[in-house]
Amino acid sequence: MNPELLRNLWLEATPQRLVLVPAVLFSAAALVDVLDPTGLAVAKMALFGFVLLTLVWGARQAANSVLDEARDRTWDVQRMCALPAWPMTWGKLAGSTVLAWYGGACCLLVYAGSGGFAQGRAAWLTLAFAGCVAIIAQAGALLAALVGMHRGRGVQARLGNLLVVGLLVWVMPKVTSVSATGEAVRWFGHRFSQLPFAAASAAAFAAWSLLGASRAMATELQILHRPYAWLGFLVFGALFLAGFPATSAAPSPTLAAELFSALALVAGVAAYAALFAYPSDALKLRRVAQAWRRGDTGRLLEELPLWMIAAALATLAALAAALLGATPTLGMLHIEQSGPSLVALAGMMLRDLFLLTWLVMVSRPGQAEGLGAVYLVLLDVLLPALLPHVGLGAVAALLRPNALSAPFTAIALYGLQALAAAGLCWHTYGRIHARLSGTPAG
Amino acid sequence: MIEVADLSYEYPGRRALSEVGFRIAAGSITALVGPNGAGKTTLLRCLAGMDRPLTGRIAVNGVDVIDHPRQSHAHIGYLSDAFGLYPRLSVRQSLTYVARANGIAPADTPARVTTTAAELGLGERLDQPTGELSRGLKQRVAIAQAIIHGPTVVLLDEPASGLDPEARIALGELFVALRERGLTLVVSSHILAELESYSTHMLILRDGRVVEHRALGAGAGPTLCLEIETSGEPAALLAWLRARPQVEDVRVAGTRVQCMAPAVTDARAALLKDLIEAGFAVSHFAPRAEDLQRSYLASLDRGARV
Repeated sequence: MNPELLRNLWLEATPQRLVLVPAVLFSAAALVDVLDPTGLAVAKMALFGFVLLTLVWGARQAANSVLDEARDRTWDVQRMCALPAWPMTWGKLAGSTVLAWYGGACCLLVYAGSGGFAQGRAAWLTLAFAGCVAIIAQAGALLAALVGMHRGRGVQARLGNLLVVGLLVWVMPKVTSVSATGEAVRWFGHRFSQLPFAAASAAAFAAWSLLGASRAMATELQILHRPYAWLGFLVFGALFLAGFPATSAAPSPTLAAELFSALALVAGVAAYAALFAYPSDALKLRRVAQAWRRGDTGRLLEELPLWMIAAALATLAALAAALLGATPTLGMLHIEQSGPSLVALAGMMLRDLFLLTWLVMVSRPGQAEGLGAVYLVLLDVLLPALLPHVGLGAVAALLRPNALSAPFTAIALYGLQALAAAGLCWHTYGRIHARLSGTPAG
Repeated sequence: MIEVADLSYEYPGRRALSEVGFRIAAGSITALVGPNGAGKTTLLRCLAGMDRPLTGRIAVNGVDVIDHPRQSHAHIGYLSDAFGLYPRLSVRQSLTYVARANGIAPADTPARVTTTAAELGLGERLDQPTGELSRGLKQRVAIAQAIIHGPTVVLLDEPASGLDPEARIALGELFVALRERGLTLVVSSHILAELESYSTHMLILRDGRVVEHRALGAGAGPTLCLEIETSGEPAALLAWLRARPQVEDVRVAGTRVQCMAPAVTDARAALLKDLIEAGFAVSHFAPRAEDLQRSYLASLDRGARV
């Protein structure tokens, strides 16, 4: 048996808990049954309980499986062992959430006992969907905890809560109205029933979230790895998004244009997320520079920050979309972008990323993310909204040119801003590099 | 056994280790000493493959720790200044977990747990939760966790911190026993008197650089502690020695005078000859067993003057 799973079972699945969980849940079900003799409420409550236990409690337990290690200072023992990243990941996920799944299984017994499975395939599909979403929540919470474990519990708790609330909002309507009917989903020209499509999508994203948690674990365990999983996820996200049809009467896009614009958007958003998750300080950039100078391609791939890879992919995809000359539309997001607009947005993204990286280099560790978020809101939202009202509309247009109505002007302006931010980064990096190359500080 | 070359480590905005290089021989106990902030814990964490340095090379038993940290862990045991125990697990469960997580086969694990526990005097405590043990016993469980997979190198960061004198003495005896078993130990500590009793080598760090790395023992360093007794009052001898250019740290210890003098035999012979010629009736003139604290301070002093 996986030793990490075994250790978690020792700690979590104590005989007392194994008795208490079903006792509480079956008593609650009996109470609902007494209050509602039709039995309908029991089935619904059982499904609701399954989601709450596996998704909410499970995610909390999964996050705590590493946060508690850091708090109790046992994390070094785990990092010193020889267990590879994947067994460590699944051992923690399965072991720390074992009671949540055990409670969920009790809920399913109640669900079966109250005739919940009478709806046949729809009920099974709903359960599969809810189960996969719970895995996404648990793996996502573990990933968030691993990413931010050196930045205080508050950060991961907020990230984990955000993820759980978002998933609850997504999963609850489907779970509370189990039905085989529902609007069909069009994806790459094919029609799919909503529930099977949601279950299959959730299964795919559950697999990616497990892979993501495993990669984050590898990073934490100092195991160098190349960013193929990250690239794969970005391409998968783009493919998933590109499959949804346009919702407007815009000219029908080519598949390639649709794919590239989807890739530009997915990779662009991912670049921001990756930079906030793994900010690149001067030390990280020095490692990249060293690998580059040595011409060590393998090490360069291992050292490259994920945000850089995503940003490069987003920029290239935006350029490709612009070259294809189509007006791709992304139906799922209700976004209609011309290719040049995407290039302009890529310029804005590069400006923001360089600015954030500069902030990481000049701020104290852990402060740059919050500061960065404030800067972005100020630059992209508050100032462009305020300046026209105080007679400085031209400045606002320079600061945030309209990428949709005047994409080429926006490309030029965002390009200049990105270059200025890159210059600022380069200058600061050079200064820090020169200082650190001298005598060590005490 | 442990080879370190050009090792530099940086925290954001601050260099913690700078071009550190040394070799530690198998079967030695190296005292890693230095002032607060010298880089001792950072160095140990780099050696253990837990923090990745900016540049340099670390090899333990020929395994590159930087490129293959997980593989190197088969050769390394690490004990951080926190014990890293799960208070709700019993000693047996704790050791079983660490053994299994370090690749010991399930069939071999129970025997390995029993042997290691017995070796560390924990045989009677196997079924006791670690949270209920005394600090000294917790320390032993933590050491058992660090060595259960049979590493050849054990890195210990402030292992005696918080232990009572009795437990410290027992810990020192344990380190000597581990060394006799062929293990190589690197022990970081602020308590020099405790290191003195079991260390074979001393590695001094200051401001992220190696100030000195050498074997311990009388005559092993560039200077040694001489103990001199004359028939007259020590005050005259004290004044005479203090006037000598190569003699440092002169002080009275009971009826004798101690000083740090060059370890070279010729220099000591010359000193004895000069003493006699100066009219001192020398009744005792011999190197004293090395005082780690004085050697450490003398090293730091030399480092500061360079």
